[in-house]
Amino acid sequence: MRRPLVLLALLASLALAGPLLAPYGASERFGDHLHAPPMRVHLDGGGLYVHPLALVDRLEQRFAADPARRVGLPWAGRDAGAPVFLLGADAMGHDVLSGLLHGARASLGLALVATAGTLLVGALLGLWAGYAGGLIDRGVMTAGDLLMVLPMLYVVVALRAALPLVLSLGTIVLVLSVIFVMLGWPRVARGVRAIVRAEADRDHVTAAVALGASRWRVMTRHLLPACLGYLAVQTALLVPTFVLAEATLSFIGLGFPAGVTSWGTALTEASSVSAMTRAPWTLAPAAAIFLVVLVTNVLLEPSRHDPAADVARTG
Amino acid sequence: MSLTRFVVRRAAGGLLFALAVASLTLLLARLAPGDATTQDGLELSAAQRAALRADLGLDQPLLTQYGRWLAGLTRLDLGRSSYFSRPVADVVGQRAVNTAVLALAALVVATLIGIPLGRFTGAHHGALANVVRGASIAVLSVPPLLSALLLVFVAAETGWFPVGGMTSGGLTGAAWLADLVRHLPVPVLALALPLAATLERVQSRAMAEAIGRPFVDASRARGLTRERTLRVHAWPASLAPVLGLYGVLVGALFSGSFVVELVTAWPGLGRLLVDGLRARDVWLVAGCGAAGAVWLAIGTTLADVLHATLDPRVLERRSR
Repeated sequence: MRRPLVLLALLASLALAGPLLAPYGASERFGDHLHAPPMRVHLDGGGLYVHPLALVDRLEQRFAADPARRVGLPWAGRDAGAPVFLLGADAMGHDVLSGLLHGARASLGLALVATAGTLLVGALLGLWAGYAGGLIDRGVMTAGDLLMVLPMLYVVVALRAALPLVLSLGTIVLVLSVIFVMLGWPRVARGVRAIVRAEADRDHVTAAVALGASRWRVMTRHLLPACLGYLAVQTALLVPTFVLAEATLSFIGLGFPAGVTSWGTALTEASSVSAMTRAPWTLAPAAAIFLVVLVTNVLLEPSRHDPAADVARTG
Repeated sequence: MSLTRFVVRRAAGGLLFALAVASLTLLLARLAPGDATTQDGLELSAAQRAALRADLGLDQPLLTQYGRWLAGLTRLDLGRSSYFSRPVADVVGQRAVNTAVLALAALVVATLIGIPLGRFTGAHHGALANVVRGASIAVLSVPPLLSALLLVFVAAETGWFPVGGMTSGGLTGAAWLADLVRHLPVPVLALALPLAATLERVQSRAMAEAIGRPFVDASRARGLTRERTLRVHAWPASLAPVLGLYGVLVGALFSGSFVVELVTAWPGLGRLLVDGLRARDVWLVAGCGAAGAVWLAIGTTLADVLHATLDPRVLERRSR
């Protein structure tokens, strides 16, 4: 249970601190450095530095490093004439590293909000279905099964498209979160229900009922704690799923609008064949998503025995 | 429950499911604000707009529209696409076949890669098994969106394969088929690799679990070689959970092909749906939903029936 929480703390702090760590602003442009390649960082007695790039040929977008000059890393102090692109610049002259850090807030933030909602809804429905049993149990589980068979992306796209295409940023975050929760809860509810069914027969629950504990108290104080380990693992699995869903939706043009920096919107610009062969470093958001998923997979590999979770992520 | 009864029940359920999904898609498409007459850049007078709406049947009450659409469905008439100005059934039929080609090819490739590797890593503990295991976890972290982008990048850099599309056009017969096969690797691998990694992991776990069961020790004690025990006893026993996974895989396959189609310009259902949604082409969207739901129902039903045929315990569990 420790590992998923560490992972969550890591991602949450990245979402919070990312924009603060970015050397340049999200919409800061450097017109003379369109598609500038990543710069090599050198180290000597004076610390870390780079040689600034100068445009040699505007038509071919060729750059050359000027070995005579040296510029410190942008965090130490900024030189307006010689921007430092540790991960290169994109087609508009934005710093890719800054874009990545600013985008972390939108991408990870949305994923974390959606995950919290999914856990809440899933855990409540799972508790309710497992403890109440009978018709409620069957209804909740059947609805969940139907949702789980559906290809998540098709549903997300269809639901999103049913709303006006242009919305304010706050509304978009809300709408996307609600859609993600609607599709994510069944997996959480299913696991919680299974645990609750097993736990409800145990003596401490019978004792609590005999002592006159209310249904709510039994569910939250005696049944929910048994599910915490499962919920922690699910949390860690849901975040990458939603990061990916955001990237895909923004990629299609149904997620964050083009003006908002997120990993998905950045990928859209990088995805054309001409852009990616000319400036492969603009694919950095893809690497960021890969890292988030990889870290989750590596951390959770021993604690996961639910093959369906793998499927959910590949979809 | 007998197998026949199971198949009939499952097929009926699939049909109902397909109908429900298609109806919901239609409802969603109708709920969306605007329709084919209110697109950007389309300047119509009120009279023209009314005429177009009447022509598309959008002026009728919602229930009438739904009734007409259902009636048309029985004749495979899905209405008329305003975006392509031709019958929806013509467009959707072709695209549904394209998606099926992509999905089936990817499923076969994923199975051929994932199952043998999983059987190997589940039964062995050497350095090679660890390498395969690590590679599998890494590939599992490359969802179709990323794998498609990566493979398109590789194809563009090396020129080994075309970067997108399904055919080059203007070809017939054997040349057309050869061209199609040349276009397949990028989208099929993009879709198949994450699935193969999933299958590898599940097969590996199932294999390791099967090896720990008493009958494996028993057959070793009877003098069977390790290899023969694995092949004849452990592996067949490990297949049940793997087969059970295929029913869930169908949905993932669809989601994955959606993204892969968009990145690699494969003319399938996913692209068509996005085009239809953008153009607010209600009947086209509903048609896509119907075709997708039919594939999904066929896929999950086939997977479940296959699972039940090979592992009859499924029937017992269902009837309980």
